[in-house]
Amino acid sequence: MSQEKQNNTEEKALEKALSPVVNRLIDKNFENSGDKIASQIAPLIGGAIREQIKSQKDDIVDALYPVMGNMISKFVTKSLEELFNKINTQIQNGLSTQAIKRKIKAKIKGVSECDLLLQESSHAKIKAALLIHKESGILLTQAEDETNKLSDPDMLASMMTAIRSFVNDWISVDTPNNELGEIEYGGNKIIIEASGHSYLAVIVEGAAYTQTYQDIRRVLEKIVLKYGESIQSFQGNTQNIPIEKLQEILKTLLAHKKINNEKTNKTHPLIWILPLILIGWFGYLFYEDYIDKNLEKQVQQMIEQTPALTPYKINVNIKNAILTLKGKVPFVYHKNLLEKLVEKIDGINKLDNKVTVLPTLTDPFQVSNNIAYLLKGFNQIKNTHIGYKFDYSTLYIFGTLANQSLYKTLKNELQKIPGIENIKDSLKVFKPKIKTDIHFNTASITLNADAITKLTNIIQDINKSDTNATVLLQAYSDMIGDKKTNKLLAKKRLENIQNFLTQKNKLQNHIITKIYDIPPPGIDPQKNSYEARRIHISLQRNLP
Amino acid sequence: MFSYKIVLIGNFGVGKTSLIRRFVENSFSEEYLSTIGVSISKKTIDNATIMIWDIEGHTEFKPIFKQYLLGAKGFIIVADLLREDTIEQIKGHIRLCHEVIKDAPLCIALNKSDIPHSLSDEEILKLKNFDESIINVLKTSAKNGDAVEELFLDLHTAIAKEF
Repeated sequence: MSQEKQNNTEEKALEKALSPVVNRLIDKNFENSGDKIASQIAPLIGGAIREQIKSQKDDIVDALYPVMGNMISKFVTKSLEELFNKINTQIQNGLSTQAIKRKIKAKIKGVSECDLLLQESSHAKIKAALLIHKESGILLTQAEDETNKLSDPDMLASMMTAIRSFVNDWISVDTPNNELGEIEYGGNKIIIEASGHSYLAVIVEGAAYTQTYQDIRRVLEKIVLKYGESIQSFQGNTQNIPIEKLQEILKTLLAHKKINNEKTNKTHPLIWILPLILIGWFGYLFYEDYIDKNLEKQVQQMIEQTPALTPYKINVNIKNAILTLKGKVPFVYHKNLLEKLVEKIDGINKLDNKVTVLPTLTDPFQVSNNIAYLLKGFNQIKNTHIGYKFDYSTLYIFGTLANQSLYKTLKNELQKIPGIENIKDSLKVFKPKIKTDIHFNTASITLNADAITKLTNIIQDINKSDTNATVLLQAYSDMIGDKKTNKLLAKKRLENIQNFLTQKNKLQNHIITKIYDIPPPGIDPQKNSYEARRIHISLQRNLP
Repeated sequence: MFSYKIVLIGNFGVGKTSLIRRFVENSFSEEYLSTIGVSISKKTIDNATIMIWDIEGHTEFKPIFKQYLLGAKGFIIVADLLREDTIEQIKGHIRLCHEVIKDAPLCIALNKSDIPHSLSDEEILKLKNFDESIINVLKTSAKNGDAVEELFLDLHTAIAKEF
C-alpha cells in the first residue's frame, strides 16, 4: 500500500518536472514539421469527422449552420435577385395584349405558358434564309436582315452543302434517311430544311422554337409547291429561276420575326385596360340588373299569391340584392308577413322594409279582442247576452240586452273601439215574461187581493227589466148579460188596472187597452165564467 | 446570270489548291497544306459565278468522296507531270466523274510544268482522245501561272455553251 502511494507521488513529481519540457518539444515539433504532421493527422481528422457526423449529427449541423447558412443565403439571395429581375421584367410586360394572347395560345396549344414566355424572351431572330440547290450547292436566292448582311452567301451555300453532304453520307451508314438538321455556333444556329432538289439554310440568332421550325417548313413547302419544277430543272442559269418571287417568300420568314420584335414596343397597357374594365363593368351591371329583375319578379309573384297581401299595392324594388319594399298596409301583421315571405327567397342579401302601417287601420284581431272584452263586461249584467261577429270594419251584434238603456250605453262603448266603422245589430231587449190574467167577480170592477198581488209583481218585473215595452191590456167578456154592460164593465176594469199601474207605482210604459166582447180563446164562459171574465196583461214586443 | 459548280479532282499534292489559288487570287505559296475535306472558292467571270470545289486529294487509303461531285457542271482533273502514277489515275478519275455526272465536260491539268518533265505531246494527245467529254488537256503551272486561266476559261466556255 505504501509502495503504491510512493509510486504515485514519484509519478506526479516527474510529470511536474517534465511537462514544461515536453510542451516546448511538442510546440517546436509543430513549428518545424507542420506539413508532416498535417499529412499524418489528416486521415485521422477525416475519420473523426465522419464518426462525429454519424454519432452527433445535430451538433455538426449546429456548428456548421452559421457558415453554411451564410453561404446558402448568399447564393439564394443572388439567385432570387436574378429571379426578381426577370419577374419584374415579365410583370412589366405582363399586362400586355401579348401576355393575354400568350395565355390563350398556351391553353389552345396545350403548351406551358413558361415555354411560350421563354420563346418570346429568347429573341429568336431569323437573320438570313438561303435557298440552295441541293446537289451543286449553288445559291438560288436568299433573304437576309438588312442590318446583318452575310459576307459571302455563295460560299456559305457551297460550304453548307459540303458539310451537309459529308454528314449525310456519314450518318446514312448507320441510319439511312436521316439528315443533318442544324448546325450551332455561338448563339446562332443554321437550321437546314431539305426538299427534293433544294434546301433551306436558315440562320437563326438565339433559340429556335417549334414555331420557327414550322415557319421554315411552311416557307419551303410553299417554294416547292410553286416553283419546285423550275428548281428541279435548274442547270446553272439563275434566270430560269423566279428569284424575285422566291425572295418574297423567303422574306416572309424574316418579316414574321420582325413583327414579333416590333410588338415589344407596345402601347401603354392602360389604353386597352380601361375600355376592357369598362366593358367588364357594364357587363357586370347588366348581369346584376338581370339577377335583380328576376328576384323582383319572384317577390312580386309571391306577394300576388298570398291572399292576405293581394289587396295592397306593394312596391318591390331590388338593387344589388337589396330589397326595398314600399307601400301601405293596414296592420303590422301584413308587414311581418311580407318579411316572412321574403325570407324564403334566395339571393336577397338585405331587406329594407319601408312598408308603412296606416294608423287609421287597426288590427282586426285587436278590434275583435276589444269587442270581446267589452261585451264580456256587458254580459255580466243579468239577462244580457250579446254575441258578435266582426267582419273587418263592420260589427254585427246580436242577442238580448237586459234593458233598453243598455243599448245606448253599448253602442256608445262600441263606437269608442277603433276599427269599427259600422255596427249592425239584431238585439232584443230582455222582456220579462208577463202573461198574467186578472180575474174579476161577476159584475165587479174592484181589484181583489189576488189581482193586486199580481199587478204589483208585474210592476216590479217591468221596473226591474227597465223595459219600455208597451203593456198590453186585453179585456175579455164572460158573455153573461148584455154586451153594452159587459163593455162598460171591461172599460172600468181596464181603467182600474191602468190606474193601479201608472198612478201607484208610476210605470212609465205605454199602455194599450183592448176590449173584446168575446171570451178568451179556448175558454167556454158557460162552463167557467170566472176564467172568461179576465183582463190579460202582457208585454208587447218592442224593438229598440 | 449563271452560277455553277466545278470540282477539281486529283491525287494528293498534285496542286489542285495551288491552281485554284492562282486562278482566284492570282497568288502562289510554296508551302504545302493538305486540304482536309473540302475547300470552296468563288470566281466571277463575266456574268457567271463559278463555285470551285477543291476536294481532299485522292490517296491510296482515301477514295474520293462522291457526294462532293454531285451537281457539278464540269470537272478539272489534275495530275502531277512529275508523278506518273497521278497521270495514270486520270482515267480512273474521269470514270468517277462520269459516274456521278454523265458526260460532264472536263479539263485535264498536268501541273507543275515549271519543273522539267518528260511527258511527250503524244501522250497528251492520247489523253485528250480518251473521252469525248474532255475539253482540253493543258500543261499548267500554278507557280508561274502558265495556262491556269486558260484551263478554267476553257471549261467555263464549254459549260456556258450549254446554258
